[in-house]
Order: sequence, then structure tokens, then C-alpha cells
Amino acid sequence: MRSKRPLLGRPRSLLGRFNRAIDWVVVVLTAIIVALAMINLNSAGNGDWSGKFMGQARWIGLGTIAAIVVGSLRYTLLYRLAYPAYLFGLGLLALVPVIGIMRNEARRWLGIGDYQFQPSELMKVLVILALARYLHDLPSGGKRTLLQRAIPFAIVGLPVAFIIVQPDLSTSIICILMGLSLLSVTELSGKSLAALVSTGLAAFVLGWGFFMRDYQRTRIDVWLNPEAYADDEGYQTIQAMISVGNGGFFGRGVQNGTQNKLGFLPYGETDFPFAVFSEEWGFLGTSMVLTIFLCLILWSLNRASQARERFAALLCVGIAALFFWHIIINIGMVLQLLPVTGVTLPFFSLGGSNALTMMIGVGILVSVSRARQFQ
Amino acid sequence: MKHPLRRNFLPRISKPMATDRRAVSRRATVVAGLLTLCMAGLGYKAHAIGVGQHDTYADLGNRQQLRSFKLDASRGEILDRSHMALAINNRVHKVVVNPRQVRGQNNVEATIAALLEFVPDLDVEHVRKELARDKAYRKLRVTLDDDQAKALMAKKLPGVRLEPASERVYPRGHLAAHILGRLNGQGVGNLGIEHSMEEDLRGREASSPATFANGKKLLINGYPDSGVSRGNTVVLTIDSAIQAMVEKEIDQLVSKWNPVGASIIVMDPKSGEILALANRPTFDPNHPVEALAQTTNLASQAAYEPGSTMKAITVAAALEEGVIRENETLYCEKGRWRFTRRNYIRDTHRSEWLDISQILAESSNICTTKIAMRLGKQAQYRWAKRFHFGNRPDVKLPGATRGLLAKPEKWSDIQAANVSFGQGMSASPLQVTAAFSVLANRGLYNAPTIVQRVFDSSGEPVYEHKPTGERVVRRATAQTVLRMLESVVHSKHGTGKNAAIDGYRVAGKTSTAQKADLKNRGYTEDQYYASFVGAVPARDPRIVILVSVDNPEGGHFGNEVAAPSFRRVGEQVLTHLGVPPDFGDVTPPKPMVVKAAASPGKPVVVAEEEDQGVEPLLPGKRPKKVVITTGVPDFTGLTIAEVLDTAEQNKLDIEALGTGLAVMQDVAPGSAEAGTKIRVYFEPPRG
Repeated sequence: MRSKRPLLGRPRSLLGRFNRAIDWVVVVLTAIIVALAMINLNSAGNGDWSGKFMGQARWIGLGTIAAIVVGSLRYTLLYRLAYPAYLFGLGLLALVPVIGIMRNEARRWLGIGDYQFQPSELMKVLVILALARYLHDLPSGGKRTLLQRAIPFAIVGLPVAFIIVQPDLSTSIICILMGLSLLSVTELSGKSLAALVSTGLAAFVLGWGFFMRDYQRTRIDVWLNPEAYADDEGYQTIQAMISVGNGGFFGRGVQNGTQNKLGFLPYGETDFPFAVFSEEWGFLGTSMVLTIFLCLILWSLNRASQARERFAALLCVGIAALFFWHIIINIGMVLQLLPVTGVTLPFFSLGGSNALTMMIGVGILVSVSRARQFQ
Repeated sequence: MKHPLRRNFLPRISKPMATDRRAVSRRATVVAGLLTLCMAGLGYKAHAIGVGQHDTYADLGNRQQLRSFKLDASRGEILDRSHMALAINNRVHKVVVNPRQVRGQNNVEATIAALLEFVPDLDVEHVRKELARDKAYRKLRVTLDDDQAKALMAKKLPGVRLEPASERVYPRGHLAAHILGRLNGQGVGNLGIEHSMEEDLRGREASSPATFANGKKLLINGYPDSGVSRGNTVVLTIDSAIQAMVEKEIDQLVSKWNPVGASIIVMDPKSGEILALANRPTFDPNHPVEALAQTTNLASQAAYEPGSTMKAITVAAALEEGVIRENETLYCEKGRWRFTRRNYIRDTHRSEWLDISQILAESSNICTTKIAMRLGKQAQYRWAKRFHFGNRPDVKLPGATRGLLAKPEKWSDIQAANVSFGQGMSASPLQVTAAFSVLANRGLYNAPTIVQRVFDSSGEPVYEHKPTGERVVRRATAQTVLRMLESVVHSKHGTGKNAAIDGYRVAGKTSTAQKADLKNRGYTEDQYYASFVGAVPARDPRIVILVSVDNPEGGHFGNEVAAPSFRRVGEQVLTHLGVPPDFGDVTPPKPMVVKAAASPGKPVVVAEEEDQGVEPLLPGKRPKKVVITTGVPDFTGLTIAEVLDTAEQNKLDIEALGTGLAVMQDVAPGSAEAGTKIRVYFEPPRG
């Protein structure tokens, strides 16, 4: 029997429309992650749901509002705003060396009232927007001019240049990796990607010999052999491993992680929240978080493959890459698969700008998903 | 429907990802697969660490989180044979500073000034150096007592704290210092009993498990290990009273003869127990030692040529071997005998025919050599060995020497002659005492003993010394030689007449050995080692006393230098032990006065005449009651050391009579005023 209404027709009621418009998969996955992250952040901090926890909660709240705003925008508006937003971001970045706030020997923050904000974090999303728009605008097929090949690198390279002098190596790496991810799904063939990667490796080897600073070289050394540096540089790696190992399968229970609570694990709030989480939730918890993150990334890729337009697809790929690289580098670092860097774990790491950026990313996903309904 | 402006503002951007949608989905699948693989890799690694190597890492974590912290076990006490404390622990306070805080508040000089107020002999350099360090915790080598600690804390100096500590105190000062030894800076014994009984005294350190946060902040107090125990109590064979007598006598000896070194040993021959042992030079274990020589226990660590004392051993051996008879006479060559072409042996008395006891009495080298020649070198050596010469005595005194006794195969004829009268070999005074005790103990050898008993913190005995008499010579031989040795003291020509003790028969032997000249391979003309060893009462010896004087000034004969000390010590000890005299009257014992010294914790024992109120005692009875004055606290049941401690706290002078536990005091508890002299009567514990 045929219904009067088409099967995929637009729901009539407001609630129904709202229900259809929202990408519940993204929202629910994000909500679960944020909830777990906030519980973990409390554990890593002083454990009484106050102080840094409340600061982060405010930023999450701010991020949620941003996500709702971005999510309610049509992504065509994002298309239009891509370049101005990118230039705005560059402007903020340019302001950092002038009026930025110095912390831990790095000038990364801009002060807005009581809040301190890292433009470099926001720049991650803006680079995705600008690059997606540029790649969208490129004619499909045909030979590329040198300028057409150079501009994507410039879009990534310009902010990276600003960021790397702050200095903030981890954010630069994330930007470069995201740029490469976007290019690899559009412009770059498998061959040229391989060429690029091998060039990068060669550059790394050369840099190792000539340009790397001593502390960066030691860091790699430490990564390969943390026990030899157990008392200084390798200390955090070993403590992180102990935390993960201490957790076992079921974990030691929330707020019961001894490594974290007794102060052995350094940077449990910022760089090593995953170690705190592992100790308290065990492998059960870590596999759960990894699965949820993977679901979010795959869902994002799924949205990309469903998108009708290149811009939308690239946005989804960009957000997936944003999450993916953060997760891989941070957790890889905790599990001693990668050297120690300052790359954060989305939502888990303490840091307002980062949380805001990730929330905007989620908002973009929602926005793109919502547009699907109007196809 | 849509607003035109809005339509313009929001551009229609229609551009597919790729023309071939299947290619897109293929590529998406590949990428998704890769990402999934990456995440699975993370999961695999997390599993490997968290589950696979859980035990390893949990162990690593526990090792840094759960630590045992050390509670110092209180060191065992050292007591004398009547359980009077010779070495105890005092609770003190160590000054701990936070140099950063002190410097941060510009308080260095003020802190030093405050410390100087309490410790006038403060090592200012040391404090200054520690305060200059970039540390938050330094323990100073500054020790305060309770009152000083309270006063220092009242000053509220920033960065200055106190920590409780334990300090080893030797309440009797230099009394028996060489036996007790002392602790090094780390609290480990490095001399005397403190060293040799370290294992027992140290006790088991408390290891208390606790959870530590990073930075070693103690979070949770653990329960002390149940195996924790204070060190064992070591009971020495020393009798403090006899030791005090000996210390006093040896001081007199030193002031009279100014020797390089001197030792007095009092031994119970029946058990080999050392009742007293004192050396000069000596030291006070409560204070830093100035010269290393002070700490040498000459009685056990130094080897001297024993001299004529060996003649008694030679005679005993010859009697035992049957090469001489008791009433035999030998020709003594009128005091000068050409032994070999180049060597003469001389005697001090120019005698002709002497029987064996006269040989000993006149200490004839010539006749002793003749006896030794009958024995032969091998037998001489064998008998010296049987008397434990050349063997390290089995005594808990570190560094006891075995002396020198060459193999007989290497002896020249003149050396064999020398050995027979105690030259050309060497032995420690302790070895000589032990060997002489064989004769005094009816032919049985007992190894010299200093530790009588050891019991653990709960009072259970851990070790008890049991004399194991080792037959060296027949009972008859020992008694014969001892009877002959009486003639040394009691006969007309005896060389040891100064050793005679009123009312008792003494069997002893003088010795006047020339000291070896290390430079010229011979003997010096002007350096002597004078000694006297004797047993008393001769018929059933209760004590053996050895007095040895190394290189005395203004005299060198054993009879002249050592024998008088023997007599004075012997008199006192016999009275103290209540040994019935062989004949004549006995003077009543002198009570001992112990004064609470001005410096806290270090009372000095002074023997003083105190005739008032002392009733004459029957011979053979120990004083049971003597009248003295008393003070406020109830001393009954306390040891002398405890009484001293109590009295010190109450600023009272104590006059102690007898030994053992307090049984009476002359002023009822609670009645006397502070500052008076209190008499306390002690009796050895029964049973």
C-alpha cells in the first residue's frame, strides 16, 4: 500500500524536521566522548569537580554553542566564509608574536578578558575550510598549472610558518598531516603521495643531521629507549606505560588510579590523559574509547562518500583527518609507538581552544549531514 | 519560496567529488580500512601493555608507590654481669634545617647564633656549609637534649626543625672503654663489643610499608613490620665494681711509672670469664677519639714477649713429660752460663744448686733453659701450643692477636732457650692470663670470655656462655706448679714478694722482659716489659690477675712495677667477692660513691673512703646493708645506671653501696630535699 507521503519526504512536524535534520550518530558519539573525557579530566585533576575541570567545562559549553551555531549554518555559507575566516585566522596568528601571552617559553596565546585562546588551534579548522574550498574550486580533470599545484601548499604553509615559530611543533605537524590528507583524496595520486612521503623522510634524516635541536634529537632517542632516560626525559614515557600496564583489563576504577593520584604520571591532564584513562578504566575502557573515536571517524568518512559535492566531502574528510591524527599521535605517544609530542587527545586533554576547535569540527559535520536532507 | 538575496548569498555549489561514484566509495573503503587498521594497532598495543604485561608494569608501579620506610631499631644495651648498664641509648634531638628557607629569609647568622647559644662548641664551619647548600633538607651534626630542644623551638626560627634521634651513651665514661668500644658516625659499632656483637646489638630495623606519592611524601602510614625488634641485650662477664677498682689502680700505676702502655686483666680461672680488663692509654667512648692509639686494646691486641711467666709453663710441661721431678735440684752455674760460644745466659741471682720451686722463685733463666733442653724443641713447642700460645683466643674482642710462636724446626738452640723463659716469642696479656689460668684451674683451659649471656628484646636467652674445660695438664701437675709459684711471693728469695696480699696465699710469677730492639735485631738495654701474673687464693684460686707495664720509667722489675698493683687490686677484688681469707683479719670493704656528674648523662665513678656508718663485716660476707643518705624517688629495684639516671633528673647525688639492684635507701621516697646526698644499697639479684 502506498503512503500518501513519500518514504523519504520531509517530515511535517517541527520536532520531526529537527529530528531528521540532526545527525544523531555524530551528536551521540560526541556526547559519549565528552562525558568520558570530563570524568577523566576530573580524575586527572584534583578530583572534586572544580578548578580546572570547571574551566574546561565552560570551554566545552562554549564549544557546544559554537557547534550548534555552525551546525545550523548551511555549509554553502561555510563555503562563502572559508577564505575570509582563513584570513581572519591568519590575522590572529600574526597578532600572537606581537601581543601574545608567553607561557612555558612559548608564545601561543591571545588574551580575551579572562580567557586565553590559541589561534593556532582554530587555524586547524580554518585550514580545512580554505583548502576544501580551493580544492573544490579547482577544475576537475585536466592538467594543473604550477600555481594551482602551489596554492594548496601555501594555504597550509602560511599558518604553519606562523605556528612553528611560536614554537608549536605539534600543531604544525597536525596542520601538515591534515593538508596532506585532503590532497591525497583529491589531487595527489598514489605515486606522488609516495614521493612526497619519501621526500619528507629524507628531509627528516637531513634535519636530524643538520637542523634539529638537541632536545628534539634526544626526544627521539628517548622514545626508542626510554629506560636509559628513566630519570629525566624518559620519565613520562615510562610512567605512562606503567599507568597503562597498571590498569590491566578492568582498570583500577575511576579516581583510583595510583599512578595518577600519587603524582607519578606527569602531565596527566594535558599530554597523557589517555594514560590516566587506561589506568582507571583498563583495556575495557580504552578499547571502548578507541571504538567510539573510530566510529566517529568512519561515520565522517561515510558522510564524505555520500556527499554530493566536493566541498562537503572534503570538509568531512578534513574533520576525520583532524580527529584521526590527533588520536593516533597522542595515543601512539602514550603507548610508546611514537615519540613524545604535545599533540592533544580530542576532548580528553585540558585546553579550551582545542575543545572549542573540536566542537566546531563536530558542528561542521552536523552541518554537512543536515544538508543531505535537502538534496 | 527562497528569498532572492539569500539565494545570491548562498551560492549553489554543485560539484561532485568525482565523476565515478564507485571510485569514490572504493577509495573511501580503502581509507576507512587503513584507519581502522591504525586504530586496531593502537588497541592491540594497549592490550599488550595493559593485559599482556600487566604484572610487569603493575610491579614497576608498586615498586615506586609502595615503599618501606626504615624505623631505626633501638640498639641493644650492654650490661655488666650484675645487669648494670654500660652502654645505653639516649633519646635526643637532631637539628634539621631547610637551607633554602633559611637563606631565603636572610636568617643564616641568626640561626648560627641561636645554635651557638645551646651548643657552645658548635662546628660553625659545618653549619655554614650545610646552610649554603641548595637543598630543602639537611640534618646537622648538632644534638640537643629535651630542654635545649624546647628552648630552640620556642625561638620559632624559620626553616629549623628537630628530629628525634637516638644517641649511644656510655654512662660510666671511660670505664671498660676498650671492651665496650664505640659507634662510628653511621651508628655501627667499630670497636670492642659494639663491633664484635654488632649483629646482636643492632636488632632488626623496622621496615614499615607505606604508600608514597611522587616526591616521597608519606600518604598512608603503614603498620610497622611485626618482625621489628630492638637489639639483643649483651651481658658481659665484666663486674663494674672490679672494673672500677682496676681502672683506678691502673691510673695510679700510670701516674707512678709513666709507661708507654699498661694493662690489667682480672679473670675468673674457673670459667675463663674476664671480670675486668683495662688498658692505658684509654678514651671516653662518649666523645670523639683524639688518637687512634687510645683505642687499641693492648690486653688483647698487643703481643709482648711474655718473659719469665713462661717459666711456669715450661716447668709444668717438664713435670707432665716426666723429665724433671718435683724435688729435683739443678745447677745454676752461678748466674752466668756460656750457652753457646757467643751466647751467655745470665741470672740476676748468682745461685748454684736450686730445686724447682727455687728456680721459679728466683726466676733462673739458666735452670729453666736446662729444663727446656731436657724437653727438646718439639715438646717445648707442643706444650706452648697446648697452652694456646700462638693461637688466636676465641674471645669476642675484635683484633685479638695470636702472638708469635715460630715452628720448632726454625728454632736455633738459643731461641729454644729463650722461649723457655718467654723471649723469642710473643703473646698478648690475655693469652698469658688464660694460660696461667690453666694452672689456677687444676689443669683445665678455658678460653677467655667477655660475653656471658645474650638475650633478646623479650628476655629470652639467645646465648649463654658455658665454660668448656679443656684438659691441658694433670690436676696434680697444675697444683704442684701453683704451689711452687707460691714461693715466688712467699719465700725468702722470691722475686715477687711485693705481690703478697694480707691474709691470702698468692701464687704468681713476675716477668721482666727486655724489649726487642727492632733496629738492631737484639734486645734493648733500657726498655723493659714488666708484668706480674698471679692467682689467689693459691690453694683454690678464685681470680687470676695480670698486670703488665710496657716500658716503665724509673724501674723495670716486675716485682717493683707490677706486683704492687697486683696486690692492691687483689685485696679489693677478694673483699668485693667475699673470698674468705686463708689467715689473719680482713679490712671491711670500702663503699663506693657514685656522684651524679655535672655533665648530663655521664656520671663518673669515684671510689671514696666512707667509713661513717659502715659496720665491720664478717669475712666472706658481702655487705648487705650500709647506712647512707637518700632522696626523693623510690630507687628500689633499679639498677645503678637507672638510679643514676633518676638521680640525675632530680639533681641528687647518689652514694651507692654494693652491686646489683637497689634494695634500700636511707631516706624514704618523697621526703628528702633536692640537692642532698642519698645512699642507696644494692644487692646482686638472687637466683
